Amino acid sequence: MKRSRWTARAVFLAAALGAGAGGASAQTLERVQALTREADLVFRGTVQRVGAANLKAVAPGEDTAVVRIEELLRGPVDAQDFVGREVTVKLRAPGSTRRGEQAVFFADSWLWGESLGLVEVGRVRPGRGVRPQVAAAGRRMREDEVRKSLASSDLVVTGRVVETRPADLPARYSEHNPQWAEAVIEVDSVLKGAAPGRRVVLLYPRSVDILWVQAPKPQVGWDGVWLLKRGESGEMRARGTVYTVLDPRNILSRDDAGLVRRLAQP
Amino acid sequence: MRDKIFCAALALSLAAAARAQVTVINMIPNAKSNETGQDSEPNLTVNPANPQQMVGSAFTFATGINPPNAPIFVSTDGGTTWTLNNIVPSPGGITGDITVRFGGTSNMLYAGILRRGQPTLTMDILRTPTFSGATPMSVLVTRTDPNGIGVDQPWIQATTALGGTGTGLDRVFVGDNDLDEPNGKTATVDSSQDAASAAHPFGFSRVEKRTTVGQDGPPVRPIYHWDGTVYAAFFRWTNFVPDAVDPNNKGVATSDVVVVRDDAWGAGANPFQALKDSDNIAGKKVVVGTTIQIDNTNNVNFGRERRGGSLSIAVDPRNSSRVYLAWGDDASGTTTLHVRRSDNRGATWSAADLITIVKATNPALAVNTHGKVGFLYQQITGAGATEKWETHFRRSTDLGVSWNDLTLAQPLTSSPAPKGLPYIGDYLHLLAQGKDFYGVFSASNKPDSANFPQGVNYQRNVDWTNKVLRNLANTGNVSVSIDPFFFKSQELATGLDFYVRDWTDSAASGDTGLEPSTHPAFYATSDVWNRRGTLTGAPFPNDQPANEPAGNGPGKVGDNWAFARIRRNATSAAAQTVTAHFLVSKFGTGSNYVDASSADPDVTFFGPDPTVTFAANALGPIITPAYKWHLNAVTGDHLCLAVEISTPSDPFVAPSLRGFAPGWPATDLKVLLDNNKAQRNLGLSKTPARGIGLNADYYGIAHNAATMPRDMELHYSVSPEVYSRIHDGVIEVVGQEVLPLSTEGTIVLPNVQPGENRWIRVSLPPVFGSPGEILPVEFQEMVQDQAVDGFAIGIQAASTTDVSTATLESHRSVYTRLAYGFGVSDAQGEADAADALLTSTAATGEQYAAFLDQHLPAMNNIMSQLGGVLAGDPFASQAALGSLSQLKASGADADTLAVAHTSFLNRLDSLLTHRQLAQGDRADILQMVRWMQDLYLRVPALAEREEAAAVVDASRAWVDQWNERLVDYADYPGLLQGLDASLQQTAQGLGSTLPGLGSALGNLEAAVAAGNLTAIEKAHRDLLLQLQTLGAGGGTT
Repeated sequence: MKRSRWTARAVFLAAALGAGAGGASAQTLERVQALTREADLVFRGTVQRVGAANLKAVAPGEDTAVVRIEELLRGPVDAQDFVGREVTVKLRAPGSTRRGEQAVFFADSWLWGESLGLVEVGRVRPGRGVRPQVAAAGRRMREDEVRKSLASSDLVVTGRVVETRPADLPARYSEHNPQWAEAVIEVDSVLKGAAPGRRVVLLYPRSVDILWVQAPKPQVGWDGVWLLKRGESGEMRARGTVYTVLDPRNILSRDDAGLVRRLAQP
Repeated sequence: MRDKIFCAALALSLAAAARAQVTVINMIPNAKSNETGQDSEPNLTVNPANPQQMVGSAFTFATGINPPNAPIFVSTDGGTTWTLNNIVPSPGGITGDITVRFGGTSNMLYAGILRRGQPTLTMDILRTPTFSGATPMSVLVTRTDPNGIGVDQPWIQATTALGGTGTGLDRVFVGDNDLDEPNGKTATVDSSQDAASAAHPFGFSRVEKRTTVGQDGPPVRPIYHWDGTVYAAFFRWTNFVPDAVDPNNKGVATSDVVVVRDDAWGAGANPFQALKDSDNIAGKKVVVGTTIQIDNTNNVNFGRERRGGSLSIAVDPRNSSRVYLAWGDDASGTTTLHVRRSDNRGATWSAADLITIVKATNPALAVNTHGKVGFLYQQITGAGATEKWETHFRRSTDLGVSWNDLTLAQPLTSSPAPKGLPYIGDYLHLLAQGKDFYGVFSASNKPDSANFPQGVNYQRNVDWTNKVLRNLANTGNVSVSIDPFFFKSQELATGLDFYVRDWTDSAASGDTGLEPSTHPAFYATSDVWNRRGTLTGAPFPNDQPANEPAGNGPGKVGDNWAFARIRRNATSAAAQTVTAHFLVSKFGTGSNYVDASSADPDVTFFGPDPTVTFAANALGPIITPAYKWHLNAVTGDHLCLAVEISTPSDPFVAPSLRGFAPGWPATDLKVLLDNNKAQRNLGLSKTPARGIGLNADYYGIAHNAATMPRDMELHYSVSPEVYSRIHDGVIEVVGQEVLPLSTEGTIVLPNVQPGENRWIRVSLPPVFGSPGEILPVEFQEMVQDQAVDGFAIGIQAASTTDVSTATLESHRSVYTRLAYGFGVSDAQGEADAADALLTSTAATGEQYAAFLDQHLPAMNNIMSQLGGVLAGDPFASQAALGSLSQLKASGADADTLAVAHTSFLNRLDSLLTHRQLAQGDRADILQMVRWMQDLYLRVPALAEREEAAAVVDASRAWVDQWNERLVDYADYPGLLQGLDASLQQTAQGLGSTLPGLGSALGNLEAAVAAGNLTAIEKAHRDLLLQLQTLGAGGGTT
């Protein structure tokens, strides 16, 4: 399965850790960027024990090692707390490391228990060039994500919410009923697709049920770039062409308009 | 470690005993100490194949930015510690509703979820064989209608079929509310009869059969019993009035509470229609037209939680007819939980509530193997600033008449502030695994010991002194939030837990009373054994009590004494008396046990069950006083012995082994899962320790204890060390091919009919060895890779005198059988001669050889008198005697002769048993009744008949009563007499299809009139064999 990427809210430590590239070959560059795309976490670490684990749920074996995280180059905020701590790494190749080895590990998050369990997707020798490569890969991933969202959007506009109101869609009762509401966006510009007019109406779930609690709940005055999709459910289609935005990553700040415009170019 | 802080219970010592049994754990791992999510609506499963393995779920976010998988909580140490494993595919790292279950014995984990990020409610059914691995769960099924609304609230149940058709296959049921059903009959059960397979076929059944207001209520709850009974409960909404002010969130539903049932895993063409109401429509309306307040808001008047769907159902694992139901309604004006019980498969229910809880939600019921009912729920108490969410765990040992009460948590309702819905969840979960209860609930994680009256253990960082949560680095505080809490209630204090070992490897290594038992061979070195005298046989080499083959015959020759060695799991200040109850069965696998109540003319048990008393703080082991039993002359001496121990507080798990064979119909609940039961299936034969002589032949019986024809699979194994010494051995399924012995192998007995016996021969060479040394070949009866029963055949190295003595004992046994059971008058002289030699002196090799020289002519003469008994002898007894005669003539020594003599006697003994069993076997009476019930339930040509219900109901009731010791063997003719009219109806209706049916029924009626239980069993079986031909293997238990 293709893994998600750390994007806007990820800790882009790499960018701050060094701009000086130096010495990395093109092959290494490609490898670092490829591994960064594959991994949830990138960190510089030192192997403490091989054939060991510090999580009960992991049976120690040839393919496990305990590694101390020396420096987090990329990863979620919570992972920052593990800098200076030992974690369990399931090695990509059994027996491929030794005690004391220092390396930049590219890993997927696996287990969160009394410690952290990671699955290694790759490893490179540390060097000054790695940090900027990881940072550059992160920037590209962010662009890729926007590009992907853009591609799957039916209408992309910049604009501002001027009104919200109940949508009154018929529905059977469920505790997960989205309780659709309408937000009216006054459109400044159209970056993709054809807007039906100066104003676009989008449906959004007012429900704070677990299925919808993270979906954006636009309020009057919200301003930005809106990556909208046509409503797909039967109840929405019954109303003709309606748009939705269910993923908070599909509402971007106006600062991203340039990026979106550039990426929207054929 | 300062990061892991244990909150000791501060309550009074008076409650200490009760608290000591309950452990409460905050499930959030230490690595997630920064966590502040609303981890509500938890669920839990315990792996029946390894109760140390558990999986939990809640609305818990995976760490990261938009991770593709949501986490499950994983424990591999019995719930003491938990780890989050992100393997549930769902965008954003969290699911909607999620429930989780392990298969019964498959180690497979299943989940039913609502996948996030979809425009409609999208239900996925997931599976993984490695719940703690890194590989995401596989999506088996996705159910939604992109043009509709979707499928809501999947509630999963899973088990492994342990008997009958599809034995070993994982049965999975998912109750859900399919809002896309166009006619408003939305209560649905998705199910698979083989969910662990690559194909994992799934289908769904609309369990709602009546009209509704347009939909049913959200919860649909299935529950299974091992015998294939599946119940489901749901709310049938007959009216819905939206709230005038907030119609999107509130309303009042008028609802029936409905229970449906299926008797065959929901696998038939018209599933879940076995239980009908007075309108002749499937689904018993337990309650009609009650009122349910729907409130989909964080209502401060209800503890910031929403309301509208409280439902739970549980079935007694000892009796599928007994089922409990809990639901919530607002008929009284206050949200109230009700619990009721049915003892007749849902047909009628207790008129009044067994228990009523006001201002409460989230009911969960479970029943343990002792029939104890557990009831978990959450209740609002107090008001204003002191209003609390209390989580209660109640138990009842008297079918719900009275309940004790433990409060597991009682935080204030005012903290934390809600972050959406649900606040603590629309459900929680309680389950029973063996005797113990396991549960999960969500509550405020504020670390205040007053909130947890039973104590609690946090994994995340906590400062108990200041009652605050701490971050991972322990550098700052973390906000209070909702967390899931696991709890275990150990129902039997270890000081009250007595057990009999299933195995002992050495003085330093043996069964410690774990349930299930952990040794693959639970029948070879167990702490139940037979002796031919009143002494225990101690001291025991390797701490393994030495079993002696049973004697059979008149007087003292057939006297035997049974022993059991009993231990206590932990010290206790109280003295305790333990009762031991012994049973026997024929040697091999699958043979049903009989006991003192069986009134078997061939086996006599003397006096009351023996008892032993453990003094205060005594752990044992204590060996029971010698318990005398007698094996009559007509019976073979190759037997299995079992014991069931009990105390008032620690009874063995019903049903008894009486009438059953371990492994059927449920995989060893009877022995492996109950440390109060043990059995010994070890056939030993002495062989010269000098390593000379011919191969000796030994036999065991494979009995099909199921209620369907099946291929019986036996896996055998020999340790490499033993194999190096007996590698010239062979194995034969009598009547099939002869195979060379290997270190392990599998032999298949094709198409064995219910109640049919087949014989396994093991031929082993003589070995050099120390006297007393045992070299076993172990057999396990396998069902889909699961060992359900087993036995061992072994040779024991012995001196020439011991071998000679053992041979003479066998000689006495077999010829006694011939004299008493087959009317061969000359045989008594042979038995008497052997007995005279055995009682006068130890039989030296010379004396034995002289005996044989003198008696071979008589032995040959007796064979000639056997006539029809020898016709078609599959054991080739005559040829074995011929070989013995030739050896004697050639001047072979005593050791060689004894081995050949033993082989002959074992062959002849097996033949006699074969001939006797052909006349019927009262040990199989219960199996026949279960088979009859099964045939009328499963085989369409029978199940569709008018009289089927009468046969099934009467049979089921009789089996239930048998298990509760309310009926006995003597009541068997009465059952059949009562069903005679129904059976005649069948014979008349199917006479053209089965021309022999009338005659078979006539034979049964004649046997019943004569009153001979053995003959009745045979006639009954003959009748059932004919009915069996109507359907190909339609059984389940």
